[in-house]
Amino acid sequence: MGLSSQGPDGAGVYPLFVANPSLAASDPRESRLLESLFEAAPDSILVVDESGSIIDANPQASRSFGYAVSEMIGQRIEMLVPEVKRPGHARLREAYQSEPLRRPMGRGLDLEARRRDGSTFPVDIMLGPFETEAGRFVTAIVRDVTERRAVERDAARKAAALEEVKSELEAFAYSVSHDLRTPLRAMQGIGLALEEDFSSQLEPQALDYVRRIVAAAKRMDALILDLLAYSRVGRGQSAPRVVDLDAVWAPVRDEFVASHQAVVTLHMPLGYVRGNPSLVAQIATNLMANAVKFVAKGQRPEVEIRSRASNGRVRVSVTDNGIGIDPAHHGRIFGIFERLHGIEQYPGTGIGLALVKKAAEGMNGAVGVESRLGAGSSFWFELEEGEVA
Amino acid sequence: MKNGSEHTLLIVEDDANDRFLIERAFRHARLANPIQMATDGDEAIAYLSGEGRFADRTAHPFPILVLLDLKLPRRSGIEVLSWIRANPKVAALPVVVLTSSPEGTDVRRAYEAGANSYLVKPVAFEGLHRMIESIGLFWLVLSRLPEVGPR
Repeated sequence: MGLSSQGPDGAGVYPLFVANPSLAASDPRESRLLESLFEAAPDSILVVDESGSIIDANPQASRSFGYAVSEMIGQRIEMLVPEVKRPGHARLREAYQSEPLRRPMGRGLDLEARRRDGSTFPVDIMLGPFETEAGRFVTAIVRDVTERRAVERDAARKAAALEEVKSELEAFAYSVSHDLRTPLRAMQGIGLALEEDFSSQLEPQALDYVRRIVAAAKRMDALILDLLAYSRVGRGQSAPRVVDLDAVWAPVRDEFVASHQAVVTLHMPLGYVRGNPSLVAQIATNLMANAVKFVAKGQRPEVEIRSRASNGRVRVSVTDNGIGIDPAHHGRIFGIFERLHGIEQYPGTGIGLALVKKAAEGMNGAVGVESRLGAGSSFWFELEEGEVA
Repeated sequence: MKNGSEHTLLIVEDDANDRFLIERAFRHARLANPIQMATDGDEAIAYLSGEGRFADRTAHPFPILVLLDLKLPRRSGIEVLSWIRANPKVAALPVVVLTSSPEGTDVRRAYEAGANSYLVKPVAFEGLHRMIESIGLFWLVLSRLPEVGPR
């Protein structure tokens, strides 16, 4: 660098290496390399001497600040600093001389530089000191971060907007859980009171109507509770940690063996995944509930749970002896409120599998199903493998 | 049991259906305690202070136990609870929160404000019956309660 005698703006010589030939690299190849880096750098590069005078600047500095290189040379570096910051900058520059280290300038501060026309722009600055026979110098590499700051501001604004939507949703869920459930409790409670207190005076048909009302209220309450559980997935989640799949599945197995007389085979050890323990447990419970529910009438549910690890992922599959699912429907069964059967046939809210999908995807995982009508189903979820210390 | 009026319960509940169902559950549990109702937070405080129409302590005896809903019009259940605990004359009055909210934040705030117990209203009717029976057994039969309030 500095070997060319003419700047790109035609402003004249770079006097650094003219005045200080000792600064030029002795190896001509190294010299040409440095020159091309200096000329082509997309950041401004300024070389400053001990007194704070600019002794060299690259073409990008000329473009960024609006001065010809020759206009900058010999001037104080403070010419490129906003007026109000100049006295402070001069003081800091002198302090830097007592401890010159290669480091970013003003770490953690929002630095600004000043163009010729007085306008300012945000910058990041890296300082690098070097010494020669001619004295001490500092290279300042100045990067214009206008675009990055704009992107950061935009991201911060979007994050704030998202937070607002989230807290609104939380308020909504809260209100659903309380305000909607109160009248339901009344429908159910007063319906049952009617049945209890007046059963001797009611026709069998009237009693049947009352029971229908109570059953409908119960069903709506189940829907609300499932919907709330769904909305809670991924809300206020803790950082992912290593989850022992055996510890999650064993109690789920015990629960369903007791409640559904299911035959459950757990192929332990299932291994470890990275995720949120309560979400993994919700996935397990919902897949198990799904597996034991859809069996032919009178058949005892049989469920097998096995896992396979590959490429840093663990896939857990839950295979049942149920009625199976026509591949035509595989795409829709993970959608919320999707049901393939009437309520009388197989009760449910159509939220369980949607919750499984949301929980798995919230942990960067995936879900899927393999099944044919009449041949049972195999639902699986896949999560990142957990490293056991 | 002594004179019933000394064993009055105050139920603070804004929902008329819930008031009906709770009262009915008390009847079914054969708890003889007289029940008084307040329908919002301000009324609960007026009752406990013996203000206005509650000044007559024969008709509106000071309660031995309060069942308090949290979500109330005017002053909230938490505000009522804080008022009770901040008022030396009535600060020892046992308060059982009976609400529809299972939220952890509500549970914590209620205990921080000095609740003696926190119960979530069961949706199922039988559940409410069992809960009221348990309240009766624990608080009105087994527990020794403090002598509180202006007699």
